Amino acid sequence: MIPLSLTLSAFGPFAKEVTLDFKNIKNNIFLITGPTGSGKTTLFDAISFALFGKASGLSRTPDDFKSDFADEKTPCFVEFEFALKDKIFKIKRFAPYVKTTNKNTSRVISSKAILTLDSGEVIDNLKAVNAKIEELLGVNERQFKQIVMLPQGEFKRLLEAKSDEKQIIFRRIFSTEQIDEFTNILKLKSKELTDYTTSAKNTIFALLQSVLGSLADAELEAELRKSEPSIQKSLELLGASIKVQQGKLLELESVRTNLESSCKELTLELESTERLNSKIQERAALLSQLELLKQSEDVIEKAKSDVIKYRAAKDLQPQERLLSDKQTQLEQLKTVLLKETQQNSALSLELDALKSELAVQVQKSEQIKLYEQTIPRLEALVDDFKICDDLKVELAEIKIQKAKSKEKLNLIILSEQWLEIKAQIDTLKLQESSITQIKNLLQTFKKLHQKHQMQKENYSADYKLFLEQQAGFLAQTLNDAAPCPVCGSTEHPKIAVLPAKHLTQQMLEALKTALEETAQNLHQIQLKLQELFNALHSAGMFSFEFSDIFANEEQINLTHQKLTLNCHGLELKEQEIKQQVNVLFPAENLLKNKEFNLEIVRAKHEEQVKTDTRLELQVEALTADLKAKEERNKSLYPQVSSAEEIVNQISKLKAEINAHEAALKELAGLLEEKQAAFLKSESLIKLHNQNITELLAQIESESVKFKAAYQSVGFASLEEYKTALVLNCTAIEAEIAEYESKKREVLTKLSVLKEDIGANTFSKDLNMLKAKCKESSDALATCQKECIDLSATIEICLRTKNKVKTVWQQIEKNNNLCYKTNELYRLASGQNSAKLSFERFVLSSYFDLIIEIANLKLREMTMARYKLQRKLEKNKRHSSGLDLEIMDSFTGKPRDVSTLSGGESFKAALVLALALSEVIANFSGGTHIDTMFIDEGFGTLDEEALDCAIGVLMQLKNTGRMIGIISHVSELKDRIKDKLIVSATQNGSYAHFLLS
Amino acid sequence: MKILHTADWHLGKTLAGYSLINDQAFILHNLKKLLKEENIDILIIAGDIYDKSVPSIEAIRLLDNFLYEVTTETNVKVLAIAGNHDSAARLAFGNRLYQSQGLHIIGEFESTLPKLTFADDFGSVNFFFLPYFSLEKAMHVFDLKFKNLSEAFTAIINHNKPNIKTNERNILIAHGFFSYFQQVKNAFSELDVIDSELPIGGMDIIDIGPAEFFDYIALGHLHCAQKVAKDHIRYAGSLLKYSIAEAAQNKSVTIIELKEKGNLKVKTQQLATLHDLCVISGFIDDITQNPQKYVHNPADYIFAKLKDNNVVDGMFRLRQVFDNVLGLSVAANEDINFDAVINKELKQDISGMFKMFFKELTNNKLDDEYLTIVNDVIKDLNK
Repeated sequence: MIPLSLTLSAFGPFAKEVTLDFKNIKNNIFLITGPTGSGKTTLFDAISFALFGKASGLSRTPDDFKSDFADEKTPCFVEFEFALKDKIFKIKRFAPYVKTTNKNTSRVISSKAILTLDSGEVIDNLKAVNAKIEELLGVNERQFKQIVMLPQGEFKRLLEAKSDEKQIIFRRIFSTEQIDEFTNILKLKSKELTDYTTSAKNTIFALLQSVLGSLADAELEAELRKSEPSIQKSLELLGASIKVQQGKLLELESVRTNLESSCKELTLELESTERLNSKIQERAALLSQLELLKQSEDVIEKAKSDVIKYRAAKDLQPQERLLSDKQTQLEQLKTVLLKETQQNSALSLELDALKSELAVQVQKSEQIKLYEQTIPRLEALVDDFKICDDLKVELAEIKIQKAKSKEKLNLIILSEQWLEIKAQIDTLKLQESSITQIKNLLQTFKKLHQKHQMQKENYSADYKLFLEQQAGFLAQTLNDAAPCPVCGSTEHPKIAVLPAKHLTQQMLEALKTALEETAQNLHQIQLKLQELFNALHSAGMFSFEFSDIFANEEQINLTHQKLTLNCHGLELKEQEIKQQVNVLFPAENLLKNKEFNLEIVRAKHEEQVKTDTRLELQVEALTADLKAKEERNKSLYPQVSSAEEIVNQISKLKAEINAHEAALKELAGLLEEKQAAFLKSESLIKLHNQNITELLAQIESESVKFKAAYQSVGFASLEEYKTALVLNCTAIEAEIAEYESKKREVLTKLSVLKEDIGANTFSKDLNMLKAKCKESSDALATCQKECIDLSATIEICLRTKNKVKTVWQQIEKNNNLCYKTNELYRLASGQNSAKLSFERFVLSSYFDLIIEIANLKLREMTMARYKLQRKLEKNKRHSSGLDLEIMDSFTGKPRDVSTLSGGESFKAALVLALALSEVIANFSGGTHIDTMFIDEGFGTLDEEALDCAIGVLMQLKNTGRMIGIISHVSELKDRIKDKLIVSATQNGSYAHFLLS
Repeated sequence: MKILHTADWHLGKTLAGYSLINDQAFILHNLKKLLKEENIDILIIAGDIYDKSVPSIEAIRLLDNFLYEVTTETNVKVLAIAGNHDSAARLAFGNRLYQSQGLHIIGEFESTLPKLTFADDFGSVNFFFLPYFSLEKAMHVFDLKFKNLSEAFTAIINHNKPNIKTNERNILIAHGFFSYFQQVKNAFSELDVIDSELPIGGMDIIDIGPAEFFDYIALGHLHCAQKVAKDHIRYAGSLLKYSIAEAAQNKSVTIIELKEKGNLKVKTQQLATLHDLCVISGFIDDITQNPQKYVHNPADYIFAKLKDNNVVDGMFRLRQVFDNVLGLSVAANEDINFDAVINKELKQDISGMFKMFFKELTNNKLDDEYLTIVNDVIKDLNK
């Protein structure tokens, strides 16, 4: 049961409506704190009131709940919403209050309660609501207070409660009703088994009684009459008396066998006498029979003779048949002959027809012969046509060839031209190049010439200088008196001055060589030029002479100009030729791929022309031929224009010929056939006639024979013979046989009987024998009956004995089970030495568990000093009680719980309540108490104990339980995060959550 | 600069009825000696100075004496903050008056952390005081909504960042449940915590990450001296062993030698105590006959885990031998696995329970014949 929300209205110190939402509390502990008198305990009261209609403490009653702070109009109610096993319930309860009406009379409005279930169903009957709440929670108000709340000052309740009270609580919590159920079922089973035993015993006695009647056993009777008959003894007695009866049976048996044998003898005798008598009687009968038979002998004889006659007739039958056969044959043959003659006449008619037809065909063959002659001629004509066509084709081909060759010829001509031109161009080019060469050379010559001239000048100048130098040198060496080496005078008026430029001999020499070189070069060039000019001249280009070209510069220039002009002219010519080349472009392409030279081309040209002419001739010949043939054909067959028509005609003719031949063949064949058939038929007719005559003769002879035969046998006429055949032979024969056999039978029987009977005679003492026999058999029957009765009785007794035995065994078996079940039941129900019932045991073991868990916490809280344990009753190994006591480890002796101090007893109560709630939480089934409220109590602890207590609270596993603590202890305020703060004002109290 | 970092004095605490005031006086005396010997410059007390909001008279007297002696006999500056056990306003009474004497006690939490600067050879050292704060207080002070304490802490650091010169050395003094990780289970693997240090109803662990840039963070609240992932973030631990769960811890104070920025040396120093607190385990007879085998000083606070199943007058006997017995437990009270117990017991079905019942009464196992009967009955029951 987890609280979800609580609404109070005019309840206790809460004047107005206050709603508290518990859903936001995340941790499992919350603290309700506030000053004294603010209304902390009232909140618990509210929950308790909402659920049960009572306050949480004894001293308060619901009547006191209505808040004096609130006015009369405000209703006093508590609405409590809680979750139970994931289902949400809401209960609203109104407190009773006194209402004063206008007339100053007071009315007590009693309490109302409305419960809304998780399904939405609403219960508002007060009693029903209370009952439902108790059902849902599983505890009533008292128990609720003991488990769920530890109210202020009353927390010791559970600790000090008596065993029985604890048992009631625990039973509800741990739903040990099942155990109760268990015990009950054990009880039922045990009862069942004992009942079974008694009923089985009764059955046994009934059986024994039933058997008693037939046994007449006094001992057994006596035994059974006892109040507690021993079944064992009864069985023994029964067995004994059965044995006695069995002895009796044996005696009777022997008597019976004796009687049986005597009876048998008598019967045998009786039988033999009877048999004899019967045989004698039989013989008499047989004799009379024989007499009768003798009387009918005559008839039998007649029948025999008839039979003989029949036999004879039968013998003759085949002959007769033969005769008739032959006659029928004759008839047949006659009909055949008729048919044949008919056929014959038909055939002859056919034959005539065929012959006429054949004549017709023969006439036709004349015409055919004509056809045959025309065919080869036509064929020849066809050939001619064919040849004509061939020729035509050939002609066309040749024409094509001609055209081709013409083309080729053209090409060749073109290529010839091109080649010629090419040659021309080449020569022109050569000339051009040589001219340019000459030009260039001329240029160089010019230059060189110039150079040469210059050099010459320089040299001469230099030489002069040199000379002057020499003069100068000499002049220097001159003295006035010395003679001049040159002229020899001694006066030197004009002394040569040394030129500025100093020249040596070597330099002069160098200049000279240079000059000579240049001259050489010039000469060479001149020679070259001469060569070239000669070449050109021979080619016919120049008209002017060579030698006067190099005379001077002017002339060189002139030559130069002329050459240029020539060149120019050549160029022009080149252009022209180039144009021509363009015309001949295709030829160029053709020849590009192959290296033709003019000769080959020319040769080809000639060849081609030859072929051309050849072809021409051919064409002429063919056309002439063709024309002639065509003319001829036209003359022969003017209407025929093509070979095809002729071919068709030929085939037509051929076909006709073939048809004619075929027809002839056919006819010939048919004729042959028919003739053959005709001849055959004639011969057949002849044969048939022969046969007929033969047959007639045979018939005659046969009939004569036959007559003789039947007459010899005894038949006067054919009719007699026929009547004789009509006889029903088999029946008569059967009669005869029967008679004979009967006779035989009787005779044999008689002979047998004779033997059997012998000399004996009819006996008359039969009756006496019969009576004797009967007597003896009667006696036997009674004896037998007695035997049967006795054995039946014995059988019944034995069966009964066996039944009793089996039932007895079952009882024995059952006994064991019964005993054990009974024992278990007694153990479970507490009828045992320890006076401990199963339920109590279970409860006490749960209680032990609770105590164990409580001790874990108590150990911590009291530093292992205190330990809870169950009070052990004196001299009992096992305590059934649920009373508690405290074991103090300091003294090592246990003492009652009530001896604990306030703080210590709070600790014990706290741990017990915590342990209980933990066990309940882990226990599936039973009540679902997962909330706990502790109202004060922590204030009774000193700081060490408080520390321990808080430590214990800390260890509570977070299993979804909620623990609400009311305390003003400041340490708790610090340590517990979620708080519900109740504050008191002049107008009443307020409460609100302060969550972490 | 030499700093001594301590916390969680819990002056006035009683343990199992024994007042520890004398032990606390003894160790504070030794602490004063240590301050003199080590030439400490700054003493940091990082919260939980008193055990209760309204401390006992002896506790007040003890603290009064100590602080007076330290401030008069030495040049040590005392920097203290209020913890969750202290009452902030009461503890910080007269703080403004003390400052001139070198005593600074910051009780109430403010959005701007009080800053105190001292100079040493290497420059200035800034101390920031962050006393214990609750989520409500933080939300109230900032007028903002925080989801958890970590968020509040981040906001505090961010708010104060402009005031912190990161080129200088800065030290933060704080009191709370700080960890490097947000996850509870990681925190537990990381830190040594005893149960009473856990908050109820929710784990509000504060992520120390945002404050990592401080040169040293002096923390208080957890009673075991330890570092929080990094060497410069430490809990000093309590002065004395204050519960049986702490019996195995080594108590110490932390001394920090602070040189230039980036250079600090940390060491722990144990102080002599008047009594030790230990848990001894053995048989009652052996313990009472040979107490010296288990404990050096019979005056120590002893918790006896007796191996006997039940002892009569155990407490009385122990008190003959030892002066201060905190309590005893017997072997029969050994830890039981809750889940195993509850599952075993409750998951029994009727036939199982009946078997147990049968065994209990007749001391025999339920043989096959009986078993078939029982199964039949159960079958009928289920119909």
